[in-house]
Amino acid sequence: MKARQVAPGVWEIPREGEMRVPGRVFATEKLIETAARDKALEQVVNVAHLPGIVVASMAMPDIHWGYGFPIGGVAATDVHDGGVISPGGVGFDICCGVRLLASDLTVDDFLAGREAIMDALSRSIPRGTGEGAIAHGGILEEVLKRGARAAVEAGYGTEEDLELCEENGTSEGAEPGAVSDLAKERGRRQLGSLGAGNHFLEVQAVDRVADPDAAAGFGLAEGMVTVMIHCGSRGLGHQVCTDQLRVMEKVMARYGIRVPDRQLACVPVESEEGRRYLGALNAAANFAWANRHVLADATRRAFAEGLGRREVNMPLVYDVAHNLAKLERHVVDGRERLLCVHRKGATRAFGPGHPDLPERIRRFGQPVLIPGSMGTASWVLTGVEDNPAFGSAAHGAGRVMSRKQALRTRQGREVRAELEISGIAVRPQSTKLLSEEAPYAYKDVDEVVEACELAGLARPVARLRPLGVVKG
Amino acid sequence: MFASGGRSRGGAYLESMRWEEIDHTADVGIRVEAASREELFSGACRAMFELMYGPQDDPAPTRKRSVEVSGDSDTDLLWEFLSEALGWAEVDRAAYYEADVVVGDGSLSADLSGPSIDDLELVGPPIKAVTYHGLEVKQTGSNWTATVILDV
Repeated sequence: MKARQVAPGVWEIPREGEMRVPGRVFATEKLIETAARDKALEQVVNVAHLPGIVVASMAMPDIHWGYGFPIGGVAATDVHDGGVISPGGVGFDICCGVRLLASDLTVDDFLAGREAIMDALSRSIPRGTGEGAIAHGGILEEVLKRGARAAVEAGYGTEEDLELCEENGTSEGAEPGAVSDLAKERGRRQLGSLGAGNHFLEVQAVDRVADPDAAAGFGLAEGMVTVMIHCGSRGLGHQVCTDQLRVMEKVMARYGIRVPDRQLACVPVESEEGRRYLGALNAAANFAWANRHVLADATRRAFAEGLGRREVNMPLVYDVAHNLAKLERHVVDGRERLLCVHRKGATRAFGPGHPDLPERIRRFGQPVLIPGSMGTASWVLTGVEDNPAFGSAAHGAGRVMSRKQALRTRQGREVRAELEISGIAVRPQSTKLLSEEAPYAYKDVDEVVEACELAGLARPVARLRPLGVVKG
Repeated sequence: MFASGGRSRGGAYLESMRWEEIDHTADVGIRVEAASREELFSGACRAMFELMYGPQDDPAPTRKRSVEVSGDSDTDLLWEFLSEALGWAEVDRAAYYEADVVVGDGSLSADLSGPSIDDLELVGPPIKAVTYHGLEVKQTGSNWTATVILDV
C-alpha cells in the first residue's frame, strides 16, 4: 500500500474501487514509512468504504495496525445523509483517555518523598485484571447516567475538576438501560481501577516549555511535578462494544451495508440500533470519565500521605478521551453539518475560541495530552485553528513492535533496571510485562509531536519527563 | 512454532490441540489447530487463558460456569463463545482453562471450569475482547484451524 505526499506532513491514498473518499494520513516521511510496513494503511482504505463518510478516511501521525479501524484513525460521517456509526471506530476500551494533574510541588519536593509517595500510589491505585475498586459499585447506575459528576457527588474530586474535563466529565444522552447486565457486572467492581496493558499512572516533571503563554494558561510551569493517568472504561466498556458489535453484525445487511472487515460492522446513526449504541456508548464513556476522576482523587490522597501532609494542591489540567464517537458540527464543503466523528486512538483537539472549551482556557485552545512510551517524554499540545482532521490530533507514541517481539528483545527485569538507572521509580503489577511496554516497542513521541505541528493538527506547549511510573 | 497445548486434566481431551501466538503490532493473535471442531473451540478458550496466566499442568476446577451461544457459522460461534467465556471469566474472577464444548445446529453450549485468578500470576497482557478482525475457522480434512485477533 502506497501513499503520496500532497502537502507538508500530509499523505494521500487515492480513491479507488468502492472507496467513498480518499485516505489521508498526517505524518512525517519516517512515520509514513513505518505505517506502510504492516496493515495500517490497508485499514485506512477499508474505513473509506463506510457509508456517509465525508472528506477522507484519516489517520493521525501515531497510526498503527489495529482491528477494523487503524489505531490513530479518524472518520466523520454525515448523520443526515445516511452516515453510519461503527463500534469498530471507537474500540473496545470506550472513552479510554488521559488525565493530567498539575501540582504545587517541585522535582526536589518529589525526590525528597519519592519512595513514600510511590509506595502510597502503589497501594492506592488498583491495577491488573479485574482488581477491586476504590469506589463502591453502589454508585454504578448514577455513574452511567452522569459520569464524573456522580463521582464528585459521592465525594471523589471537586466541582472545579469537572469544568476541565472534555464534556465536563458527563456524556449527554447516556442510556444505562442499553448496557447489558453482563457489562454492569463486569464494571461493578472496577470503578476506580487502572487496568493493565498500556495503561499507567506516571509522575512527571515539566522539563521544557514550548509555549509559555499557553503553558501558564493551563497551569503548567517548568520544573513543576505533574501526574498523568491513562485508562478507560474497563470491562464494562469492553462488554458494551462486544454486545453492540454483535447486534450491528446481524442487522447491517438490512440497511444494505457491506464492509471489507467485519470489525467495521456499522448501522446508520439515525437507525434504532445506531441510537441504542450511542446511548450505551455514552453510558460507558461516563464510566470512563468517572473512573479517571476517582483515580485522580486517590492520587491526591496518596501524595498527601507520602508527603505527610493533610492535603496537596493538585489541580486538574485537562482530561481527554481518545477512543470515542461523538456528534459534532463541522463545516464541510462550505456547509455546517452534523457529523458522527469517530476517533479511534485520536484526541479531540479543538482550536482557540471553540465554544465547547472551558472559558478559562478557551483562548489558548484545547489541551491535547500525548503520552509517550514508558520511560520517555510525554507532551501537552494545544488545539489550533483550521485543524484539517475535524479537530483531532495524535494520542500517543504508537506501537512499532508487537508485544511478542518486545518480550523477545529484553526481559522485564532488564527494562526495570534501565528505568531505575535513568532515575525513574517503577511500581509494576508484573515485572515480566514491563518489557511489552518498553520504550523500544514504540515510535519516537517527539517525532509524532513534530508531525502534529507540521500537519497543522496541534501546537506543542510543554514536554514532560517521567519521574515515576505505576503500571498495571 | 506452536508453543503449547494438550495439557488437559482429563488426559485424552484436547490432546490434539496446539496453539501459537502470531504477531500483531498493537494486539495479540492466536492460531489454534485441533482434530475436531469441539477441540478447536476448547483449545481457543484455553489459549486465551494461557496467554494471560501461562500454561497450567493441572488447573484446579474451583470456578465453574455454563454458557450457551448461537451463531450462523463456525466463525460466529467461535466469536460468540470466546466473548462469552472472557466476559464471565472476569465476573467470576476465573481462568477457564477447561471447556467441555458441545456444538449443535447453529448453537454451542459449554461447561467452563478453571482456577480462581487470585491463585495465578498474570504473565501476559490481559485480554479486553475478541475481535472480528481476521477471524477465521477452517477445516482441511480432519484438521481444524482457527485464527483470532484479541484486543489487549
